[in-house]
Amino acid sequence: MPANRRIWGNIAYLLPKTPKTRPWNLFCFTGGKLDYSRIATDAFGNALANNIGYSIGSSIAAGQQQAALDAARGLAIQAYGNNGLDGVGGDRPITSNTSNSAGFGSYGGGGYGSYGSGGTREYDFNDPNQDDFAASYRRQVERDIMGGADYDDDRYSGDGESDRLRISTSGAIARNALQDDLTAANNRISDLKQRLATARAEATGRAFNADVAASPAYNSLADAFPASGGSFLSSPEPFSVNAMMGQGTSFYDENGTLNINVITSSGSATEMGVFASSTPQPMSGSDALDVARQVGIDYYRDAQERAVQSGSFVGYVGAGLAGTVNRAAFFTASGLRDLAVNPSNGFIGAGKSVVNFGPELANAAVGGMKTVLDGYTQVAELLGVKAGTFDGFRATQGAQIDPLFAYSNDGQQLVSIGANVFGGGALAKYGNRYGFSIDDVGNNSAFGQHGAVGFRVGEIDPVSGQVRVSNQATFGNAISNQYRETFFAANPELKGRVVVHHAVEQQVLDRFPGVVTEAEIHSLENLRGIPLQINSDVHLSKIRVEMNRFYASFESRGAVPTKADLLQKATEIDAKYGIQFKPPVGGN
Amino acid sequence: MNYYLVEPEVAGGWGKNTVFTRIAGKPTVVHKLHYHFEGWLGDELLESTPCFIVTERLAKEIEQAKLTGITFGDVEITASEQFNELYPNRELPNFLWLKIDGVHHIHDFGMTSDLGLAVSETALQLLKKIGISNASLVKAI
Repeated sequence: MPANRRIWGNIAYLLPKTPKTRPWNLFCFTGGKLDYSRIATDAFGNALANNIGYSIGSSIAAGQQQAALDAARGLAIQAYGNNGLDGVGGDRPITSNTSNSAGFGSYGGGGYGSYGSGGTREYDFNDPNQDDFAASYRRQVERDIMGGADYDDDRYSGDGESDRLRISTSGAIARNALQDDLTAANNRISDLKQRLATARAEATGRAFNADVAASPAYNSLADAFPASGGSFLSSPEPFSVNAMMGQGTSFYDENGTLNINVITSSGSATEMGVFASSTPQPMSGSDALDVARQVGIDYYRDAQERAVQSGSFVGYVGAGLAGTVNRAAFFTASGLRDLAVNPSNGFIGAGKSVVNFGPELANAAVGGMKTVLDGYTQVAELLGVKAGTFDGFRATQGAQIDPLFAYSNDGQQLVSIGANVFGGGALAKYGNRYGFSIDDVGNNSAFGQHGAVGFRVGEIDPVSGQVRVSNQATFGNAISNQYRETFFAANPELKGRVVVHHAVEQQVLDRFPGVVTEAEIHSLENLRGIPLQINSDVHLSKIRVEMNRFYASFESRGAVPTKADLLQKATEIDAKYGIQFKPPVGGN
Repeated sequence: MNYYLVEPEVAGGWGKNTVFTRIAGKPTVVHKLHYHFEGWLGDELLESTPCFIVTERLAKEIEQAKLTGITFGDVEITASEQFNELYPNRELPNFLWLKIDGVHHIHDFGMTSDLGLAVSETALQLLKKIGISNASLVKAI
């Protein structure tokens, strides 16, 4: 029998099982004040454990769990040294005699999240002065171990309810709370679908309104948006989608009020409408910023609650992200502009940040955090992420890591900052309805690349369990034929870095007159950025060959494709090559 | 003799001055060709279905070799904004419209029913000598 037992993560599963006469040590790693990396670690841990792991935990073979947990434990030891952990090799595996879900739970969210700063407490149960099996003493030990943490012990209450022990490491409490929320949301969400569309627009729109009101610094937004040429400066009418896409997203009305209209393209998960007009005048004075920020914090918190009450996942995410950003003062004009042009950037950015947890955390953290993150990646692979996806990450140095998913613009990057804190909880709260998928598309790419992955966020199909996404190519209505200007107005950071290409080619206007309009051909929705650094001319040539075959299938029989035919072909091209476009389409 | 199906580089598409007739159930007939370049990897035989164009140099080689199944015509050439962006200093050579009127498996150049280009081994060797490195080649059955 081993002389010592190491306890990793949540100690609840082990305390009651200790034999009477065995001396044992408890090692409970509990963190101090949360820092950025710690919070993000918990966020990911929560997402992983509660969202994904919780839903599929029972399907994971015990052996896989064991392997993951053992690997994680080894990696953590690497990160923190022995730290009082002599004799690790002789230990009984942590997951022995526990169920799949229990084993996973002890490591998924709270467990990993609790590796933050370390700490050791020891108790010798051979001490005759200690009645080690008296319930009162066990509870005292646990309280002592947990220190000032919130501690909820229902095992000895005699209330007839199921015994349980809650230990408020940040991860464990979040996990328990979110698990409850998941159950509650699951019961309610089917009745709330109709209210979702209104609520998400309202919650997120108000968040944006509050954002504008919250800080005088946001006045710079107007300057950051593309000039509207004056035609909208005094317009009392809301911008249409196309006007927004074509000419910018903000204007001052005749009363000097900053107006922002934001609408994004529709899709099963990223559809989100934000209407923020007639916003209040910014505050002025030396204290305005602090006051306004507090107002913003209060507002966002309230907006989140409303969104949750109405079952709005997008609203919840939007309000939470905006609130996080507001608090952190990360809200730059550039980032907001990208969000305003296409709020789905925020959603995508949030999702990507979850997947980018490793690089981003490692770049922000120091020392052993990188090693702990390696453990996450191994667990993630066991949960379904394609094996080897994170090999590159694990092979890198902690402070020199590129994100797995590049952010397409400042909006995505901006939101990722907040999402590292917020995204895990949000995904966990609604994890039974929305999810993300990671596709290995690189090795099949016509570009001959290897290791590329596609990231998708969408609603989970209740039957298949797969994430449903809509990547159908669409047309908008451009108000100008200057398509390059249209594209770079929406993607200014790509200027000089991409060749602008029409998904449905311009020649369709001449080859099949009357099928589509110039406004549709030159609309932002039909424009793609081909990065210059990936031999754009070669890629464009491949696309032209494919389109030529498509035309030939009609020309050979004197037929004309419909608009739907053209969009379907564009969708196919996007699916094949879109991962390399800037911004990516058809897979992210 | 062996025949091959050639799928040439597609460097652009129809320009706005292309004149054609399209009758349902029959292949589209082009009367005047305007080829609008979007890019060019350098091949001297190019396609925009159902038409093919060749450089003046390749046209002379084909004539000298007395290959059958083709005639030459004029083509209007223009380049797009994208072309100039990709190749700011590139000048396009003169091109001619390679009109295919031969029969597959009989002439050196022929057209398949799905508007593909079929060439004899003799024609293929000439094309490869001049330069069609970005074309796809498949042996015809």
